[in-house]
Order: sequence, then C-alpha cells, then structure tokens
Amino acid sequence: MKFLPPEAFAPLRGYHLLPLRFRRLPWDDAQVFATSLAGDWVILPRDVIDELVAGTLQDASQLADLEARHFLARDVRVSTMAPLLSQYRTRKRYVEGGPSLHIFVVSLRCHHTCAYCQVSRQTTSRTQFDMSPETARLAVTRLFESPSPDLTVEFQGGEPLLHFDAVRAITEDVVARNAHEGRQITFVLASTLHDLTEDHLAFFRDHAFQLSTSLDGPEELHNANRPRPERDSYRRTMAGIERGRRALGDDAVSALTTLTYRSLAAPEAIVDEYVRQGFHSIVLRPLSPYGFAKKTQARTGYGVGDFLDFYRAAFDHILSVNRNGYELEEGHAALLLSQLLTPFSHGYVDLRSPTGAGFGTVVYDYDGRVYPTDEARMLAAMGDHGWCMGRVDESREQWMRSPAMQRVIASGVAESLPGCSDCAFVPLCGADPVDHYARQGDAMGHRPSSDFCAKQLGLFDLLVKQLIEGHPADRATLERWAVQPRLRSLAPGPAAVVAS
Amino acid sequence: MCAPHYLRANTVGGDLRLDIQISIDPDLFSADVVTRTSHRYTGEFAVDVRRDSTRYVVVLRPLLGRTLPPDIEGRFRNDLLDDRLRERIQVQTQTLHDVLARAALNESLRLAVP
Repeated sequence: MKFLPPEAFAPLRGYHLLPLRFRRLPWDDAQVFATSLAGDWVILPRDVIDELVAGTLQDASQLADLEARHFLARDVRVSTMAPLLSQYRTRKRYVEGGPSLHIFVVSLRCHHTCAYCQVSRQTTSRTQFDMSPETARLAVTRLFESPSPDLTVEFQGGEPLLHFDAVRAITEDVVARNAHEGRQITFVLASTLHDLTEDHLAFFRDHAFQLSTSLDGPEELHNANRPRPERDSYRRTMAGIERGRRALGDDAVSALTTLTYRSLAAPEAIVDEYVRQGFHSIVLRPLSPYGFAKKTQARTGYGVGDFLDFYRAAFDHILSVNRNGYELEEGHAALLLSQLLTPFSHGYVDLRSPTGAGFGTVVYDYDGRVYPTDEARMLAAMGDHGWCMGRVDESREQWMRSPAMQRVIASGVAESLPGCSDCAFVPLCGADPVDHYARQGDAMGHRPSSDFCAKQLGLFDLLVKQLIEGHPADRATLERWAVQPRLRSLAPGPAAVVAS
Repeated sequence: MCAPHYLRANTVGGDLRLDIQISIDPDLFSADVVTRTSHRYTGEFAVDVRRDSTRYVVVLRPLLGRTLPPDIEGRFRNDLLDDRLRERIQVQTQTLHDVLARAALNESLRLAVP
C-alpha cells in the first residue's frame, strides 16, 4: 500500500464563510451573540467576528468550533453541507405539514365581564352566537383537508361549555372521520371550568381532553381581573381545576395567566399561587391589543418595558422555586429555550417563519367565517374584517388565494422583513403580521418601535444571559424546560403547536 | 471615521429640544449601511439623512417625550461598524445562503407543485 506524501494530510489554510448573523450583547458590547443559518449559536468577542469575516482567523480551536457550528467550511474536498441542511430542514419542518392547530369558537357566550377580554363576548342567553351544527360539520370537513399527521382540535369561546352540544358533536365527528384518516388527534378545551358537570368530565376522559384555564394569581387578584356578579371567579375556577384533575389526572389540567396592570405589582405572589395550587407549568402572558383589552387600555394597559421588568422578577423567582426542589416551568421561556437548545421546531404560531397564521393555525368562528389566527378573529369582532380568509363552505384553496392570506404571505417571512432579516435571533424567532397590523397599522411592521420585537429581544437576552452566566443548577433547569417541556404540546419532534 | 458631532438646540412645538448631528465618511460606509443604521434609530428618534460631496450627515432628534441619551454617538458608531460588517458578510454569503435554503427545503417545494 502506498501512502500519499505527508503534505497531502496537512490542513488547508483558509476557510469559506457560511451565512451568519450577530448581535452585540446588551450587557457587554465587546461580545456578540452569533447564529448560523440553522440557528446554531456562539458567544464571541466582537474582534473575533471581524477576523472571521476578513478570513484571517487562525486560532485552531476557534476554527474547529466554528466549523462544527456551521459558521465556516474549511476543506471543500471533504466538507459536506449535509448536517447544516438537515438542521435547517428540521427547524423549518412545519412548512411541510399544513395547519395542525384548529380552533373552534363554538360560542361567544360567557358569564364573565373581564375588562381585558381579548375576545368578543355575549351574555349567556344569546344563543344566536352559538355555532350551528351545519357550520360545525363543514368545519370538520375543512379540518381533514389539512395534510398534517398531527391535529390539535381546540375549543374556545366565550365559554365553550355553554355550548357543550357543539363540543361533543364536533369531537364525535372528528373521531368518526379519523377512523379512516389515521391522524394523531389531541383535543383541548380552553374554558373557565366553572360549568363542568360529571357528564362533561366523563366525555373529556373518554377522549383524553387537555383542559386549559385561566388563573391570574391569588384570589384577590384573580377576582379583580375576572369579575363575575357573584364575585367568586377564583373559587369556581379552583373547584373546576380540582374536578378536572380528579377526573383526568393532574397533567391534563393547565393554567395560564393574563397579566393586567394590577398583576405587574405581584410577580412573586402569582408564581407562589401556582406552586400552592400544585401546578408545574405557568405561562406569563401579557395583554394584547384586542377586544375589550384595547378599549380599556388606558386603565388596564402597560408598556413592554413594564412587562419585561415584571417577567425578570417572576423568572428569577421561578428559578428560585426550582432550586428549592419544586419543578415549575414557564411556558413561553420553554418555547424559546427549545429554539436555543434544540434544532427541533415547535411550530408555535407566533414563533415561526413563515408565520403560522393560516399555515399552522386555522380558526373557525361560530358564524362560519375562518381566520388565520385568533387575533385576526378578534380584529373582526372589533369591526376590521380584512383578515378573514373565507368561510367553512369554501375550499382551502380558496382560503389560500384570499386577500387575507396574500397579506399574510407578503409579511409573514421574517427573514425578508426590514429589521428582522439581519437580526441574530431570526433563525429562532418568527413573524407576527396580525399583531403588527393591530399595533402599528402595518402587517410588515416597524421593527425599531415594535412591541413584539422588544418583547422577544428582551426574553431572548434574558435567557441567553442566564445560559452563559447563570448558576449551573439554573442552567440545568432551563435545559430541562427545553428538552422535556411540561406541556405535552411543546414536546419536540413533529411540528406541535399550542394556542397563542 | 466620524467627524466630531455637534449638538443643536431647536424649538419644536414650543419645547426646546436637543438633536445630534453625526458626520460620516462616505469612503468608509456605503449609503446602504448608513441608511440601515439610521433606520434602527427610528423608534426613538426622528431621523434625517443627508449627503453632500464630502460626507453623510445623520441628524437624530428625540421623539416627543424622550431625551438625548449621553452615549448616543457611541451607540450609533458601533452600529455603523456592525452594519458595515453585516454588509461584508452578505456580499460573501448571500448566494450561498439562497442555495442552501433552497437545497434544504427542496422537498417541501416539490410538495407544493400540483
């Protein structure tokens, strides 16, 4: 056997730069957060990025690390782009699946009068705001026209339990048709849980429902946020949670907060309430500019800076709770961490590019109109029907050709949007055209003044700082959130979607 | 790189406000870089970008209710340098970026063809 001369095995000088983006760390502008095309990331000194781009970086260990993370390619005779392509394809896998989250607004009736209500609501006697059997039947037909192998059927309102007949009929129709469709179906009910009966619970148990409710914090805060004439919303919610847990198991019942101005003063108390009630997941959800929340904004609203201050305090407290031995996960952080620490796509509608609006999510309103997101439906309830895709008696192809979806497509790819296209977080983030339209009057959005961007950057910066500077125990907690999320629909793998 | 800036006082709607003018060497920074960097500041400032034969001049005037941060010139200069580096990255990698994205998503594109 003859060997090539030693020179043939010497590493080539030089390298080829691969696509990358970077952002100075807000807390140390001599360092940058850099991402590859597929979202691999690294912290580097700013001057090293200069050397890297100039082609003069020579440190062997840095070159090896950057090559492994797909920031550069060295020997083109042996380098393959296959791992990078695979990673990118994995992160964008939701593109292939079609809508997997289907929201059925079975009724607008509700017994609450929440000032921050982001949905249109009607009093409990107004049954003309219930979904008709024919609309429900057509909506299920449209649902199965989605090619996604995994489908989440989520019932919302108003209060969906006030029209349980529709919940039952739709569920049974889906199950019957799925006998020959063979999809993986998950049923979710978003409800106050105030009207749960044993019959409801038996039905939910038979179909392995997930129950999602709102718990805004301690009793005084929750009742102040969610008034009922009887002033006992908290007691009824807790009773519903307990009954749901007894019938379906603890993991089948989840809760999330809606944060009002009152809530911002109580980050630790809200977290402690979730611990006290035995939850292992909390979602700290800020107000959005829809419905009654927009009308009462002067009284109940706050800026994104206030939200981020609240979130940092709550986040620190959640980490402390975990260090003390109680597992508690923050849902939105878990989504962002799965982006930072895994190549898998969760497909969350607001955190994907192309956007999930209409492509990952479809909303069937009680009256048969169809929307790409629940926020688009809320805008219609406020009088702006520009985001309506069509009706349940029209084909999906007609929906995709609608002016609404043309707007979504034109403004729904973050990599093409001014301000997003060169952002280091764009491989991990998403476009939200409906939110930008609602806040700024422009679906493409103005990133320098975008609340969505400010929130995302604030959260990403917080998590990155924690990952690189935090206590090892805290990092372990965050890694667990990323790869073993508590909420089942956050599990990595095939594009799984949660309701926004 | 940047000629010394100067602050200018002006009255807007009866309010006395300061703005800052930053001079930029056109031999070091392209028009695209100057405008991209300036755009980043349009959330906090009213931005005016001018060009004469020797330089760009970027004027930043704080929007209503805001004040001129003390480190604004340093921030802007850092962002100019970063955007110039991004321009160089794009020149080197844009074609490859498009090829890689298309190759990665090729299967999805085939699914879309009727």
